Amino acid sequence: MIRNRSEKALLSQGGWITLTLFILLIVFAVALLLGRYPKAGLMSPALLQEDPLAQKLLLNLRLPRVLTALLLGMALSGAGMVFQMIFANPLVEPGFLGVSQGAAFGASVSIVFVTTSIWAIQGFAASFAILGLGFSYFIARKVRFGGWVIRLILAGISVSALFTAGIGILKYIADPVSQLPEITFWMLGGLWNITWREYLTILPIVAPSLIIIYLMRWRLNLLCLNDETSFSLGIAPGRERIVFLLLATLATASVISVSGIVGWVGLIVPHIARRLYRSDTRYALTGSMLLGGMFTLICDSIARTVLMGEIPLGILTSAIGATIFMALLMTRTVKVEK
Amino acid sequence: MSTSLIHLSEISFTYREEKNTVLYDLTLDIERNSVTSILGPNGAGKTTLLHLILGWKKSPSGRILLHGEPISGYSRKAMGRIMGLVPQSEYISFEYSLLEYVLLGRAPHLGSLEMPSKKDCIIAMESLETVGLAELAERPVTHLSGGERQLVMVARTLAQEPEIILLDEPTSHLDLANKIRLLGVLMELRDRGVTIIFTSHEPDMAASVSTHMALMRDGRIQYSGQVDEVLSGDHLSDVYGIPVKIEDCGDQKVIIWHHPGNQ
Repeated sequence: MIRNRSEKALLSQGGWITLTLFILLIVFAVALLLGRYPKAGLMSPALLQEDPLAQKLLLNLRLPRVLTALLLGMALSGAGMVFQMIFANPLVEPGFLGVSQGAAFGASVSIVFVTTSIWAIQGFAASFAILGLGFSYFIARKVRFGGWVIRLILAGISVSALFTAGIGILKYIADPVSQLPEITFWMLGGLWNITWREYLTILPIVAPSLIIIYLMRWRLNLLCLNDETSFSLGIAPGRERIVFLLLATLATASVISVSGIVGWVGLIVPHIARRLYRSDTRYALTGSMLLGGMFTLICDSIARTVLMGEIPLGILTSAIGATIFMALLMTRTVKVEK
Repeated sequence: MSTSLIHLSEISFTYREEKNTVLYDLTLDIERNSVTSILGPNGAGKTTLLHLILGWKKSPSGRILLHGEPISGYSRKAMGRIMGLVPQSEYISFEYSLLEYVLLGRAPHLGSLEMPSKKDCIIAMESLETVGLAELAERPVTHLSGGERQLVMVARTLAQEPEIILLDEPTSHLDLANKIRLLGVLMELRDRGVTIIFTSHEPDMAASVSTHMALMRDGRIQYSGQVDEVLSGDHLSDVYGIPVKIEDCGDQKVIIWHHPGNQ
């Protein structure tokens, strides 16, 4: 009897995931119809059939942007979950380990010294993101006090600060007319200049990375255990960690190469996902990706509709994310017990 | 060639950061289906010895054979199916349910992209039943007491279904009733044909389930062999550096020590 009950508890998580997917589809549809044409608010689906301008607008402007917002959220929160599991710490996200700042620095280098082509920016962002991660890891190994996680976080903070200083220098020497706005856009984060071209440039990197992470997601559980324990369970912990970290870093660097830095998603969404779908990454990772997609989709819809001009997406996700985080911290004792 | 299940010869180990050697020139044979307890003072190198057998740490000299083959020749997955480790304690960062946690023990039986199946769930539940925690299967691991955590780690290793189980001080956090329960689990495993190696700080408790015993001091095995040959007051006094006696009390052996105040 107990056995049946436990199996049911494990399987019922799948139902919650399906429900989340369903809600995400609704949010997706609403986001597509939401905007300032023909007037501020929701476009009626009937209009789409008769108005060619509405069709064009939806297919060429809104659809790539909404799809990118979805991909951005899924990548950031999926990567956030990977980082939190691998470092066995719920307070870690790619931004904490020099990945985001590294990517931003790489993009700035590309803008100032090389070219503003989307491919070059993506390549530079990804290389410097991995460099940032590697550098944090290297420094953490050399720190001579504290536990592994605190050393990593300290190393990550200092590496991020170094990159931020670098970005500051680049901003200073950048051409204020052509280059500086590009860098500033990067630091604030936003999706206003997304077209199909940007979406299709990042898709070949982000999609495979996320799919592999998704398929291997149960094994993430094993990597939050002590090294000797996961080793005894037939894992090569070092090797598997590197695979997951590289995939997560690639996906993150790729999406932020077109969006700029969008903070807090990778930290806050995995937290909420663990509360809703429990800790097993079999469900928590899937849930995290779906919720992340939903979160950025909602934030981006607010960003482009609330004011006449755009609110930078990164500012919105940080404001909302930090608020939710405070609320979560203060309700720590409230357990989600189903 | 040795016919024993695990054969260690001339093993040594030094931690890179600290310059002192932890294990010296160590030779030990583990028979199939035996229960070997490893005893010795704190810092004698017991845990390091377990980690070497597991392959987690590597000896720069000598060799470790499993079924007559060097352990380095086994794939990670194959090793995971043969040998399981119950660590002394474990830091658990996330609120897994007991069942989810014990299911992790199925890892060596699953492919890289595979998820635990219903069959794996049943094995995990049976393992929880064996250690007496089936009732708590849906509770978060993080809410358990130290002793219960130790039992859950044992359950996870049972779910792994290995032929050799290494346990690092498995009874250190257990109360008397749970200690006896764990000894029962070890004896049951032994009856199923599992080979067991564990470290302990309680010679009398260890003796009650062991067939073999090794006494370590300062990185060396001082005495090893059948329990009856190894467990004596003189040997223990030598290894621990304090005078102790062993008395028979029914079919159990009891350690008698001098109370420091009574001299």
